[in-house]
Amino acid sequence: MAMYSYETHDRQLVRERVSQFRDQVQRRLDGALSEDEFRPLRLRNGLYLELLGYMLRAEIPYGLLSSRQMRMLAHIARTYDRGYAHFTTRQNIQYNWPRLEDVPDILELLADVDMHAIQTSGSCVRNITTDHLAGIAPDEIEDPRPWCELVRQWSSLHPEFSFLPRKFKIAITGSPSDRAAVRVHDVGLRMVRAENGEVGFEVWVGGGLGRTPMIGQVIRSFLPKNDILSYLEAILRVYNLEGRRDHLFKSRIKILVQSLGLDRLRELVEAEWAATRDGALSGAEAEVARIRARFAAPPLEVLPASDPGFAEARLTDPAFARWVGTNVAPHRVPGHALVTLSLKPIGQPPGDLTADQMDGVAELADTFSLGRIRVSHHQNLVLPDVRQGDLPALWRRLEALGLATPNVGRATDIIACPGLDYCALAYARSIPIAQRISERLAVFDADRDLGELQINISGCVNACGHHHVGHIGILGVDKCGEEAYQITVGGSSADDCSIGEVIGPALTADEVVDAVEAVVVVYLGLRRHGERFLDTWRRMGPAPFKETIHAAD
Amino acid sequence: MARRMGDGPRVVTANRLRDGVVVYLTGSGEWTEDICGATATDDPDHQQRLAARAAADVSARVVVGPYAVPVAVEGSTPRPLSRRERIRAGGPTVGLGATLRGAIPGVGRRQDGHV
Amino acid sequence: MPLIKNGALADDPWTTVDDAEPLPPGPVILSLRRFQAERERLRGLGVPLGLRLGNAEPVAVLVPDLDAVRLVALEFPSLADGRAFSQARLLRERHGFRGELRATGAVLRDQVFFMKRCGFDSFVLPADRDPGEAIAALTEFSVAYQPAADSLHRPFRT
Repeated sequence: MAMYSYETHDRQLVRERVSQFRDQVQRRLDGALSEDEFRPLRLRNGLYLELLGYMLRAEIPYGLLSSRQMRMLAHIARTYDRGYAHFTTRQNIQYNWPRLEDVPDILELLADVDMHAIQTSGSCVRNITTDHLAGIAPDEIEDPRPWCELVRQWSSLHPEFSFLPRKFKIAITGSPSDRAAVRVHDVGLRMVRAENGEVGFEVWVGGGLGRTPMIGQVIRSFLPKNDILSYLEAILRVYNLEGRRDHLFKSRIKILVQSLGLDRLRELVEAEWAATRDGALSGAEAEVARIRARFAAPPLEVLPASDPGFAEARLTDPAFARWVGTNVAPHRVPGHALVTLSLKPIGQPPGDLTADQMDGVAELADTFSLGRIRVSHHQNLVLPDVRQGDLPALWRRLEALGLATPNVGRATDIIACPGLDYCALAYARSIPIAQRISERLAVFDADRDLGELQINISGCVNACGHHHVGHIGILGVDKCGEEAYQITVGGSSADDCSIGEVIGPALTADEVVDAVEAVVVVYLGLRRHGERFLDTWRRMGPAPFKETIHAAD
Repeated sequence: MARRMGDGPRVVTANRLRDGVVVYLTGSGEWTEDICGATATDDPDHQQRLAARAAADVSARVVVGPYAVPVAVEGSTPRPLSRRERIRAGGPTVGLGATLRGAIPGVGRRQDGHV
Repeated sequence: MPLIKNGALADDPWTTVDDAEPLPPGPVILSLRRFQAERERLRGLGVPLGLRLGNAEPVAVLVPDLDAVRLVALEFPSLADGRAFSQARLLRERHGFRGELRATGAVLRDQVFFMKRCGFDSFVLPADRDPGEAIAALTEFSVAYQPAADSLHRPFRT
């Protein structure tokens, strides 16, 4: 499967949305709409007014991109922006400097390649996210992408749910192993196989980060696939009617779960669902079959499981071998591999890519991966369908583009929000902290092998950098008008999902870099053979880590 | 403009509606992209007049969200006291936003009108 | 305030009456509370009855009286408050209400397409809004991805 190809009516809807937004922008410029009236309208089309100007967030549906689309993203960055853009943890792309009056034209160009900015912000259902290994992971029950597309379509311009109490995020995974962080979403759908062999979804509700981090709970342990839309509609309807609208910080569904209790919420949802499950939304499976057909692509050629040239290069070139060890993952189809392009060069801003690099990636995708690209929620790119024998050549080309840093899943593969360098909500900068930690830990990782270590940085409590679920999380706060940073340890967004624990006082930018290093040094002193940072923390508890922070204080 | 008047010099800032660019109010009541051209004043009456001018330009759809920024005046150059405002005045401190600052979109592509 | 009904400007025969006011002649729109308090008398009057329902009032309470109600008015307190979208669909699709379903309050042209899809067929616009623009916006989209109270959605192929 490649990616969903638009039908006539998909294109029609996107074009009509562009026309509608062009008219809304014109009415704003003409004065028919005040800023207060325009704001919720522009947000629903991904347009923010940030610290330095407008910011436009375009949707990359569940992280799938074609080389043609990537070239358009590059063209837009070059023509309408300052030559670069930022990939986000929701697998989307952000432009930092578009002009309001250019945005309708930008949307028109996106529509030319079947892309849009619909519902990338605002109090509505946001971009559906999924496992970046969807369709490739060997442990998968079923490819989740047609289900993502089904939910994307159902939620797009939904007449009932376009003005919810607050934003609503849905993640879907088709694998038992959770790489889509479904437990920290408003609704998370995890594909499961029942004892009788039937495949359905385990439904999680009420997870989320932000101001009040919570791990979701299972509202339904088995939902037949055919009922996915009617069940989602039941949840959304209960939330739309019962969710709080009087207080911004209490309006997410997680607060409703908390105030009603899971059992009461389940009663309401099940009662609503009982009345609709046999209605117009049933038949989801038939609809998914239709959608799946539009993903169709010739299957990858089955090749020998091990390519001799690749094996030889691994033996003779240690740098190549190191990159393969971190950035290349096995593919379900023998003789192929999945390659992660690190957008985290040491000392550089996480997730940023220049227009020239975008064009370079598009060319490499055409040459080596059937024109297919993915965006991961770790703010990296993926070439999903690479032949093993092509890996040495691809690696050299990636090196030239600056996208071959061998650090995927490592300490320097830092997730960070744009922070105070761009964002109107931030209290503190994220990017320079990420850069300095990356520089500091790169040396350690090279010398001592820090293993799997996820560091996440958010510039404020809204937690766009998902600091709560970083193995090490850093939260920017304001301390008497100065930037300060709080460290949490022990978070995870995977199957062992947990919220990190604060281990010390707020620190200055200099101190926080030292403190992260100190935490890593404690880990190195305590780890047993092959033990991950997170596992050492869980075995030892916070005491030794807290001691080192306080000793440095 | 909800912020308190008086209490040290301030400049008035906003974002320009059409393109979102950060702008500052000058002595002649125009908006400039360069904070060096902004009028800084600690005179409450003058601050009121700047606020009124900014409010009029919100109605006239020139700018969005104006407010007063406390500054220190060094020589004739106002320097915002808060880091947030220093970033607004100077752009991102790091990364591509800092190194590619010269490449402003639209320049040479079309002529700006007044403002 | 301009009234749009069935896609065109229309005169409004209905009078919205406060709880303490005496009933004028002709069709009246009453609060749920007043209707419930005076149900028997009102049902016997033989005048067309309309009800206005608050966003926090569950539509299910209307069900026993829907046969006597010719109009239901739902309010949009602001652009951000979308509860009436759900209330409308429930009335139309769950409870089969066939009378006039009226949108009141902050009825913005940027939302009327969604309102129509949820089953509203009349719209009271704020006085300063252009009814021509709102009428045009009722057909802003020619396609839709999801079934609702209208027929714009192409049913799933089963």
